[in-house]
Amino acid sequence: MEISELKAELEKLHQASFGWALNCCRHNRSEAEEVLQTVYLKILQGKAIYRGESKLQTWLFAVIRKTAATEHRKQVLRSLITLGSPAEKSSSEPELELERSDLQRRFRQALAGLPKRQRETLHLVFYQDLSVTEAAQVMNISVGSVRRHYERGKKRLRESLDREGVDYGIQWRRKENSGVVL
Amino acid sequence: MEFSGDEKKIQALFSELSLENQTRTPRFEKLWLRAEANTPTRPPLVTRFVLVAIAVIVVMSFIAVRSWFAAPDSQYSANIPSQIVPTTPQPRVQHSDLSAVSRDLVRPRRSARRQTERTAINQAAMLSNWQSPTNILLNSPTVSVLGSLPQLTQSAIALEQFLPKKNNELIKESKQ
Repeated sequence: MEISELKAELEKLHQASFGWALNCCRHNRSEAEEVLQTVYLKILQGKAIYRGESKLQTWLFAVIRKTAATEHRKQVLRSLITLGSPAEKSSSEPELELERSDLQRRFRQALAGLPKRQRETLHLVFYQDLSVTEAAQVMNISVGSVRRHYERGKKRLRESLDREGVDYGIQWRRKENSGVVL
Repeated sequence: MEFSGDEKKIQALFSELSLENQTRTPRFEKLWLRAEANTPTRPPLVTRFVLVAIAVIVVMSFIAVRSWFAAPDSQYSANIPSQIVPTTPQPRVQHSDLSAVSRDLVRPRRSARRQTERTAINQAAMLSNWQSPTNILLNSPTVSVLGSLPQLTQSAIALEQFLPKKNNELIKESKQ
């Protein structure tokens, strides 16, 4: 694929990519921006090459995920070397927090409390509208594992929101939903 | 993917999250241009050609220097006359001589190769000087008489044997 052609495709996927980068960077906006820029740099330098073996979106998301993990590792190492506290940039933006609804705030908190794999799976399925197979490709794990993360994540998220005791018009069904088409 | 029940509710929450993120997504061009600015520019074709040419010249000169240093040693090997080489090889003496000359010039790997060459030359010399222990049986006792000319210091009688006989002498012999 020509770089101009690829650029046009990347532009179409930009918003989704940023959303995924945010999820990979624990909703740290500046970090997500940096990761996405690094991904574009990798593509321009030819370090990340799309060979058409999968959908462009799944390939791009896999690159973003890997880059975010690398950047996070580097950050941890940097903080260890400087012997300071881990450079956890605050993801909270006060004015944004005020704008958010209480439900949305609680939802974010519940999401942040999930294990990484479960959070990623739920994001890919619900936010990005990917199938379980595509999510497995992005996360580089088996479809079975993704299914497991999906079910557990869903359950845990529901429990977490229930524990808050909030009823914001959402009535959670207690029964497991077995008829889900994956 | 079809959702039902609480999945729809989760999806609704994610949709809200997505809408919020969309309003705060940085522009694609901004990130792309920043990435492009950070991309190291490739050197032009001429510069790359010059760099390749320099690399080739360096490699060629290195090979030339190596072969130049290797040449004197091969001369040593070739100039060993076979008659000088003793029948019983004394490789230690020769090797030490040669290695003394070329120690500073030759790398260890090359010296090992040369040592092998020298051993081969010594063995060839030994083979060329070899004589069979039964060689003496091939010589007959008459070889010395038949293969030699009469000497000037021999007596005249002995010399006469080699002269042709005259006519009067032949008559005398017939009268007798």
